[in-house]
Order: sequence, then C-alpha cells, then structure tokens
Amino acid sequence: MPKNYLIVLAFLVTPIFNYGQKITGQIKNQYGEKITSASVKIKDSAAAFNVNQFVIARNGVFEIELKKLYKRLVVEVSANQYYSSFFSIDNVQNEKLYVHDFTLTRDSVVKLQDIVIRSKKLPVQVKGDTVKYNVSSYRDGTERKIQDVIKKLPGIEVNEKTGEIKFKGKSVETVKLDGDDLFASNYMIGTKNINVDVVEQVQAIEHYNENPLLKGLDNGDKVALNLTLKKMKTDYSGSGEVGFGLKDKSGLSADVSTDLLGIAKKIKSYSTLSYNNVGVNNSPFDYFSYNPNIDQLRETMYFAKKLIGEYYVDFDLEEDRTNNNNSIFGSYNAVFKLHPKLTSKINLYYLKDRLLSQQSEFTRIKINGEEILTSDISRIKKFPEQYRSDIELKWSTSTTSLLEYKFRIRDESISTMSNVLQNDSKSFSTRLHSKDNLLKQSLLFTKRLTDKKALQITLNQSFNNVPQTYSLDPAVYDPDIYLENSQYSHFRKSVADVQAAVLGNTKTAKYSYSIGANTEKIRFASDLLGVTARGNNFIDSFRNSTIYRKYNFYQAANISLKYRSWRFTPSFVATYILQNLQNNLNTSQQEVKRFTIEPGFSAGIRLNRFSGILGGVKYSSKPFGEEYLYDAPIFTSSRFSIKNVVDLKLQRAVFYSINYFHNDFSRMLQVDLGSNYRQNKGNYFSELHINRYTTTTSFLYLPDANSGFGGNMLIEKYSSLLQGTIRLKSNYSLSRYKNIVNNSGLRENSVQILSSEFFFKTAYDSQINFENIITLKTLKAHNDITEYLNTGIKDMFKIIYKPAKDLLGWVATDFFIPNMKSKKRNYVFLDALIKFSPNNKKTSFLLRAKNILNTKTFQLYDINDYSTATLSTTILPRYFMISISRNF
Amino acid sequence: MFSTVCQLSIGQNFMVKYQTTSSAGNLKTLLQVSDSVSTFRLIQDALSKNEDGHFFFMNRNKNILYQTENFRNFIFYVADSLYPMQWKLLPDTMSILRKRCLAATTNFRGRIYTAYYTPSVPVPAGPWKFGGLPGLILSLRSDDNYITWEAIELVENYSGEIKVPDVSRIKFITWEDFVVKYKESFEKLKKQMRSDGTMPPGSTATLKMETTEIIYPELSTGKGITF
Repeated sequence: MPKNYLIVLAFLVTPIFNYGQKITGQIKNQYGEKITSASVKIKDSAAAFNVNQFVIARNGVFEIELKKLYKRLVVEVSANQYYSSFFSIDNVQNEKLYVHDFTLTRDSVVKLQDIVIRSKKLPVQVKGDTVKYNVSSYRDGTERKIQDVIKKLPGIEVNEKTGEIKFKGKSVETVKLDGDDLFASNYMIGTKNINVDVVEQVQAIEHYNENPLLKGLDNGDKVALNLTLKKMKTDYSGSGEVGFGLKDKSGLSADVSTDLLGIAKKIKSYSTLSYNNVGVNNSPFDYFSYNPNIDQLRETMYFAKKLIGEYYVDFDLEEDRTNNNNSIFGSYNAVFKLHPKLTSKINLYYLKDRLLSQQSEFTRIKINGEEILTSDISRIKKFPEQYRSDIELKWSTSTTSLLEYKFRIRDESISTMSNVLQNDSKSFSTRLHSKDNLLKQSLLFTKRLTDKKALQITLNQSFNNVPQTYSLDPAVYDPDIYLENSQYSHFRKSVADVQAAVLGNTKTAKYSYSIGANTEKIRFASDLLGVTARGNNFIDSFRNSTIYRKYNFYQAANISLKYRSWRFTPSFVATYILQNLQNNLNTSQQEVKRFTIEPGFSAGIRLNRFSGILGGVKYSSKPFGEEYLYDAPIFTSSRFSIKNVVDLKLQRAVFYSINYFHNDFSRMLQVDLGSNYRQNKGNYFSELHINRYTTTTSFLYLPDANSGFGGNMLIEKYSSLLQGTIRLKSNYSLSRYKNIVNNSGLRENSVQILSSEFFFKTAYDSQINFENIITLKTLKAHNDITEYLNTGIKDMFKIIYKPAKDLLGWVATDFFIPNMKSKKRNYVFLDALIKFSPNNKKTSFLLRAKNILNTKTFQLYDINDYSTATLSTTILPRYFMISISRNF
Repeated sequence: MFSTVCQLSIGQNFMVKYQTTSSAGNLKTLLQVSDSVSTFRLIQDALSKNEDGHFFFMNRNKNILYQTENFRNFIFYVADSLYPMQWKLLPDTMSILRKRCLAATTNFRGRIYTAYYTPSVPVPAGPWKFGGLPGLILSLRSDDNYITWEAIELVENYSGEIKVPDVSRIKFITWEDFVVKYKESFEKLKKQMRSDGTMPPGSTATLKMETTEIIYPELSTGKGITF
C-alpha cells in the first residue's frame, strides 16, 4: 500500500507538462576553440524576433530543457563578435534528446573606431506626483516661445486664443519658474513670452496646492506646471527681437519685443515689453475676440457687468489673420524674499492698443411665415488701454501658520468708434466709451492645527465701478425729434465676504467644513438722452435707477471617503439668501428671503495605474445676476436694445457628469471620454421683436425647463510609424431652449454642434517633417417649423524642412470651406518662415511671409433658431518681415 | 582529447551609460564589459580619484560578483554569484537607442523588475547586478518605481580602460552570510543608540532603511522598526 501511495505522490509532484525534449551541444569557433559565453535562444523561426526560451552557455557547452510542447522550432546561438548560427527542428519528437554542436564564424567586419550610439534625453519621466518633460525632446526647431513647446507635450492642451493650459483635462493653477510662483493665474505672460532656449524641463505637478500648509488636506485635484530653467552663467538672461517689414499697400509691419529674466537669491523677476502690428497678442488680456481670461472667469462675483457689449470679432480664424492691431504691452513680475519669513510679490501690467476691423453681416430672418432681410456693414476702431498692479505679501507668522495679503488695482478704458451702414440705406456713427475701475483686497490666514487638520480664514473686499457712455448719430429713438442719442449705463458694485474653513483628513476620508457670509451692493443707473438743436432731455421711459443688495449666510461641507479603489464624495451647501431690490424712481422695493440646500454627490473608481472613471450629480440653486434686474430698456447698438421683466426668482439646475480617463505616459496613450447633462427648471427666456431696423430683446422669467447635453472624446497616441503624435478629438453638444419671436407662442428650439478634429505630426530624424490638422464642424438649429444645417471643414497643413543644423524653414497652408453646400466658396491661406541660427545659437534671423496669396476677406455662415447669417471680415493683408533675435 | 581553451582576450568591449532614477535622485552610472570582467559604478566615481575602498565588479570567468556592501558605517566584502535572478520572458518589444529590445521580468530579492534587452548585442550583461539574458539590458525598472536604469549611451568596440582592483588579499563572505550580518549590525546599532545617550531611557525610535534589495523586510518596508 505505502509503495503505491508513493508512486502516486511522485506523479503529482512531477511537473504536468514534461515532454522530455532536451537539446544539448557544444559551441566552438571555426578554429575549434570553445566560446566562453554565448546565448542559446529557442524561437519559432529564424526570422522571428521573439524569444520563447533561452539559456546562457558557458565554456562552450549548453543544455536546454524545453518548457513547452513545440512542433517545430529554431535554435539560435549568438555570441559577441560572431555571426549567429541557427539549427532548426521541423518535427520535434517527445522524450527525445537532440545533440547539435555549433560552429560560429567570426564576424569579419573590422570595426575601426568606437561606435557610439547616444539617445536623446528621455522625453518623459514620471516620478510620483510629477510628470517631467524634457524640452529638448519635443523641439523641432520651429518653436520660439515656451508656449510653442508646451502645446506639443502629451497630456497637455493649450487654448491658442487665451493661452489657458490644461493638464489631463484640468486647468492649471499657475506656471511656476524654478519653483517660484511669479504669475499666478496670468501665467500666459510667461508662457507666451519666455524664450524656449532658457527652459530645461516642463514639469506637471498633480495634487498641487499653492499653500504649503494645506498639503495633503484638500481634495488633491489641482494641477500646476513648473518650468525648470537651464543653468545661467549670470543672474540675468533675456532676449530681444526686432522685426520690420512691409505690409501690402499699407505701410510698415513691425514686431519688436524684449524680455528679461532675473534669478538672484532674494529676487526673482520676469519682465517683458513688446510692440507689434501683425496681430500677435503677447498679453493675458484679449480685446479682440471675446475670451475672458482666467481671473475674469474665476472672480466674476466681484466684477460689475457691462450691458453695452464691447465690440468683438468672433471668427473661427487664428487671431493673427484678422487682428489689425497696434499693440504695446509691458509687464513686470517679481518675487522678493525680504526675510526668511516674509516674501512679497508684485505684478504690473500695461496695455495699449488700436484695433481696426471691417465686418459685414447679412441676415435672413424667417419667422411666422414672414421673411426679413437685414444688413449691417461696419467699420470699427477700438482703443483699449489698461493699467493694473497686483501686490501680494506672505508672512509666515509661525512654522504652522501663514498670513497673506493681496491687493489689486485696475484702471481700464475702452473707446470704440464705429460707422455702420444699415440696410444699405442708413448710416450711423457711434462712440462707446467704457471705463472699468477695480480695487480688490484679500486677507487669508491659514493655520495648520495638527498633522491632519488645518484652519483657513479668508476676507475679501472689492469695489468695481463701470460707467459706460454710448452715443449714436443719428438718433435711434424718435429720430424725427432728436438728432443724436446718448445712452448711459453705469454699474457700481461693492462686495465683502468672510469665510472660515476647516480641512482635514483621517485614515479613510478627507473632509472640509466652512461657514461664511457675503454681502453685495450693486447700484445701477441708466439714461437715454435725446439731443436736439434747442436742448437735450432725458427720455423718461429709458430711465433706470436701482440699488440691489444681496446677503448670504452659508454653511458648506464635503467629505471624501476612500474604500478600496473607490472614492465617494457627498457634499452640500446650505444658504440663507436675502435679496433686496430698490427702485429709486418709483420708490418701490422688493425683498425676498430664502433658505436653500444644494446637495451633490460624486464617485470615482481607480481601475488601474492609468485609468479611472469619475461621475457626479449636483443640484444648484442660485440667484440670477444683476444684469436681469433692471426694467427700462437700454440701447446696446444701432440695432439692438435690451430690457427685462424683473423677478427675484432663483436659478435652479441639476448637473450630471461622467468621465473615463486613461493616461499612460510610458506607452504615450491618453484617452478621455466624457458626457454631461444639465437640466434647468425655470430661467430667464428671451422675447424678441425683430424688424428690418431694430431688434428688441426682453428677458423674462418663466418656470419652463431648458436643458443641455454634451459629450467629448479625446484619444492621443504616439505612433511609431510617424514617430510622432496622433490625436482625435470630438465634441458634441445639444442645447434645448425656448424663446418667443415676434409674438409667436413659446417656441421650442434646439441647437446641436458636432466638431471633430484629427491631428497628426511626424518627428522623423530626417530633414522633412509634417503636421496636419483637419477639423469638421456641423451646426444644426431647429424648432417645430424650420431646420437649418451647416457643415464646414478646415484643414491646416505644414511642412517643416530642416536641411542643416542651423537652417530651418516651414510652409503652411490653411484651407477652409465654411459651408459644404457651396464648395466654390473656399479660402486658402499660405504662410512661410525661414529661420537661420548660426553656430553660437544666440542670434537668429527670421524671414516671415504671411498670407502670401493675399486673401482679402473671409466669410462664414452662422445659424440660430430663427435666422441664417453670412458674416464676412477683412483679413490682414500680406506682409513680409525680417527679424533678428538675440539671447543674452 | 583535450582542446585548449583559449580566452579570446582581444575581444570586443562594451560601455553603457545609464540614467539611474531612485530615491537618491537622478544619477548617471557606467557599465563597462569585457570578455573577462565587467564593472559598474557612478560616473562621478570614475572621474574623481576618490579611493574610498568601494568597488563593484564581476569576474565573468569565475561567475562571481565582488562588491562592497554596507549597513551604515559597517563595511562588508561580499562575493555574490553572477546574475542569480531567474528571468521570465515576455513578448513585449520596445525600441531603445534604435535597437529593438525584448522584455523579461524577474522577482529579485523582494522586488519585481521588468527589463528590456537587445539580442543584437548578445552579451548577457546589464546595469548593477542584473544580467543573464540573451542580450544586453538597456532598460530596467522595478515595477514599484523604486529604481530605474535607462541606457542613454552605448559604445560598441569600447577602447577605454577597464580597471578592476586587486582583491586577492580580501576575505569575502557570501550573500547569505551578509544577510545574517546585516541583521546583527542592526541589533548592534540598537544597543549602541541606547547606550551612548542618543536615546534617553524610556524613549522609542523608529528606523526605516530603504534598500534596493530587500535584505531585512521589516526594516525596509512599511513603517520600519520601532524600538
């Protein structure tokens, strides 16, 4: 019995797959000498690259036991300085021992010198929270400023128009210089102007918090960039560029700029000064097309509104094709380490510009069976000017507490002169003068109570005065009586708020709890003046004079719980809101007191090292902005006027979102899929009255619903075929809303936009490389009765030719078909550049040619639920420019 | 019948520069391989004349790795076997320094590593203690990202001098003996800290020492040892 038992045991212990195939033999060279070290590989065929099994043969003898069942195989023997030798077995028998001796012949190639293979530095390294990109690995020679390289980094997106940078889909808080935050949210001053030659690495930091005392306690979803600089020989480095040329039939083209970077122990500074008239915007402020900068988006609650809109050009073209400018921009940014415990920062900005534009708009309105045709041909001159200074002091009152004081003052004035030819019959001359004075202060105190808890107390105070004066000649109101009209619109807003917050974490959760209060006082006054030969008078029906006060007391809390690879975050905000609207003209007052609760919930799961899913639901209930709280009308142009039917209701909405992401930097693959849905119950809807000469819009509150749905997809992958990047991006949005036009009933409308973009770029070591981006955009607007559809396509192609180390050139063509239904209407632009950087690399010569084919106008189609429009704009004429740039 | 074994010492030598990333930071390291020996060190060591008694080289004929190991201030001379790790081949490929590489993985002394080796350079060497694959290892990283080596320069037919010290007078211990002595040194350290006043009576200290090879798991992982 025991013997049988042992045999059974032995059988179980023996590995199941034992075919008993063994190969053995000797490895010698052609002289009969044993080869000390050789590798013996089992492969599927001689040409196969993959190795199934191997053994390292020592002293000329090898023995290899096959670990799996092979039908046929090839044994390859390789040794240093010998040609590899193969032995194939076509019908491998089980339980057989194969003996084969190899004779290797010496590799007869005589290598005369060291063969050196050097790699470029590793392009990307991931270390903990930081992704480090080596700038030299992403340059192809065409880049001048660091923003040109940041655009190319995988995982990073740059908005060409605003300079806003996103990493893994999240907007970065700031871009630091060697660890110092010089620019805060106006980082495009650095990214648009700092020379690419001074930057060594671009680092992307996750779980970023600008306040070191809060590290580890917040939700950890903020990101920032840090530029590490190359070692400088002296404390200062800078560059200067001077370019002059000729513009077709319109004089001199110029682009002059200089910047200075100073890195000393106690002072770090960056200053820039530039002038150009070729459509380039080096500043964080955009007066040409409507792109509010990050401060404006984050701090809207402190800013007063402008009801008379400024003039903006909104074409889907790069700004330097249409922006006919004459800009001066200067900025000084510095961080001073006054004392080990005290640092101060100062940012100064100055901008002055003159923008010219010529636009025409032909609109066909179809409503209630009626067709109305309008046309507006405008010539505009816009003169913005801004002075701004930000000062910040940071005092580490102890090792665990920090006191910060921030102060900002801004003075902006914009004067716009325009001439509008309306309906080919009436000519208007208008002048808009807006001023914007802002003063804002903040005091923040942070105390790290324990390793796991921190307290933060914040106080903010601001005052913003925005008076606007708009004059129209001839008058738009009662033109039979009045010669001219002047529209005044003046908002004055004061805000003060205070908040105390506790943030902390435990083993499984992160939490935050805050209480606070804020008060807003907004004074609004508007008037319409009628000018006659005998005197002026204010028109009563156009008067507004209100004081709107809003008080808020709130409590907010959220807790982020971790369970295995899941993270759940429930949250809520409970607010007591008091709104008081006082009408000074009829001494009436409306007051509403409310208590609201806004709950939210989000959940995320980390699927693996690279990917995860995040989803959330949020309910929001907020008062409407002060732009809906006046009732007498205001003229905003020679055609448009607006007013409201005032109501102090709350804006209620539910937001749903879900997002899948996959970021694998080692395989250079990034995938992002997302979807969101918004449902509003009750909103201000527009009631329009349109005729050939005027469009009056009245906003009124209705308890009806409107909704929006969006989806986005991004796939970015490194392709070894192209030795470059491929990116596919697609965005879809569906918006459902209601309006009333020319006494129709309440119309239900929807607008759908689908935009897809395919981008590829090669990075071969050869002399020629390509880059191409093709964009397809479809817009569909429809309601119960009509439907409009427009599809446009655009392709931008660039060839880069680098015949020598110091010479580079590129040629780019942009091709547009704004409306696929009329393919004959297409636009082609051609630009070129030649760059010569002689050996010392400190000086470069550039020859630029823009719009070589001298395309003069550009037209696009715009549609909405009641009209189609053809808009055209003039294009900057062809220009040539020679520039010299020098780094010092 | 005897055949004379003739060592082909005119052989081709190789040199590889690796970018090493670890908790100690980013360093450049150098591997030099000849038929009979190979050495591995930090590049600054090669350039400076600093002779502080540390060495790390392999005798390829005898299959021995000679190295100096230490626990804080105690130095040990260890003769370890050459390439003791067991490799498992993977089908992944990658291109490094324009050479096609294949992947392999191993679990070596407490960590799992993924290596990419190039069969076109059929030398079974690699960075630090790694090798034994049918090709030169150009990339090696531990899966927990503790340490990585990436080849940034490869010189075939290297003509530089490969120097190894004369260790005939030194008494070496085996790796297994070293592991035992490592733990003994830690105990000695505890006694020393208690007796020389570093630790007042009644106090506790926690020590954690992260090492690439996990020699004493409790000391290198988790929270370390509290005593």
